[in-house]
Amino acid sequence: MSNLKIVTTQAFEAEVLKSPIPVLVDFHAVWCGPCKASAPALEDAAREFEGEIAFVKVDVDEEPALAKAYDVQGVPTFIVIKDGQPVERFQGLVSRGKLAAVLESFAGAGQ
Amino acid sequence: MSAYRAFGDESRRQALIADIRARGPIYTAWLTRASIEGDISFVSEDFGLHPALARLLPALGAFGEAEDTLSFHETLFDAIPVGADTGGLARQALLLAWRDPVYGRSKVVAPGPLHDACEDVIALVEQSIDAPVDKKAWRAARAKLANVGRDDAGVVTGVDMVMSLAWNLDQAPGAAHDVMTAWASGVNIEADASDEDCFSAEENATFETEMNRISGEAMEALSQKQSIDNIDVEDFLAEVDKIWAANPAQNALRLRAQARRERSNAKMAAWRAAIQRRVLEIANASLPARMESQPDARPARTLDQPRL
Repeated sequence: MSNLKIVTTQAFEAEVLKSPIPVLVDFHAVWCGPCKASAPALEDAAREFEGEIAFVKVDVDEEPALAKAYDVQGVPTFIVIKDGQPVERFQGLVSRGKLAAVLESFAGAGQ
Repeated sequence: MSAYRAFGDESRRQALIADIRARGPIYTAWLTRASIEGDISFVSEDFGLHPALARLLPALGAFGEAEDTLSFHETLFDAIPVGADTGGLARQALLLAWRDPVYGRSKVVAPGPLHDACEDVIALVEQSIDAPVDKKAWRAARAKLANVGRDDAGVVTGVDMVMSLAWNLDQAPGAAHDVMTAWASGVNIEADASDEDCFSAEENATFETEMNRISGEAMEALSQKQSIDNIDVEDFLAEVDKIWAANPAQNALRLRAQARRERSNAKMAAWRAAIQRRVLEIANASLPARMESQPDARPARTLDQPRL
């Protein structure tokens, strides 16, 4: 079962903005190859950081208002949101190394 | 140690070799929609290869771009005793990405706290060859590496590669693919940078601008004649060639870029061949020792020996 929760505009505030832990938001599209290729790394990271960082997916075609609000110009775009605020963003095919490099600092002690 | 045991029996080894002979290089043979999305679990389920090794094999064969990989893959499969746990081989092969004296990324990270943090990760990878490493240890090593500053852009690919090494390959075998991708990227950048005819920053900018402009122009020209969804790649490339050729000054830049790419590709091919040899050496040296309990395991060949 996937650890990546699909989030809609309606659920975004509760699931992301008011989350007690940092959230990595994956802005993706179903037609996007790099988005699909990034999915296994995201699944691994979601399992690795379970309980410390939440992972959600936003389909930019289904949720254009969210994509606009976060100025998403291309997919995949990843934004880390902490305490309701975007604190880190990166774009393009992502590796486990890149995810670890970004997320370890948000995961706290995490151990 | 993992639950995967290579091949199961000799017939499965032969079936795997026959499969890649029939369907082309491994990357092509294993290419499915699921494999593009990172799922090549059938290789482990059908042939007993550790998932991390399964993800390494296409990368060691240049993701199908090289035509000379069949011999390497066949030789490697012959070097793996039936029933061997190939997780250790995958980890040892990945260590080359850092430690190989010629192609390892260790040399691009200067001695100091950053290098030390990388070495902490490498030590865990080495430890994981023989015994499981717990999650806390991986996390601590990654956190240490993440917290060391790395201002020098030149070391970024090397450090990102080490960060990809810092994963438990039994739980996240796809990290092996990430390591190889980062490694190849670093070696490729190095090959380009050491070329005899490097572009100046101005030439780089001009070339990139021209490439984008010409691609757009070619697409526009072709879309006048047919639906954009039906444009053939060959037609597109021919149109691009025509536009470049019409401007000799800019075309000279493209010809230099093409020549540089060929030289870099040749360097990458030499790198790949050297690493393939090292992987075979590791397989030959380590797997038989781990298979002492299986005296009927066959001795391995080298790349120079013909297949019987």
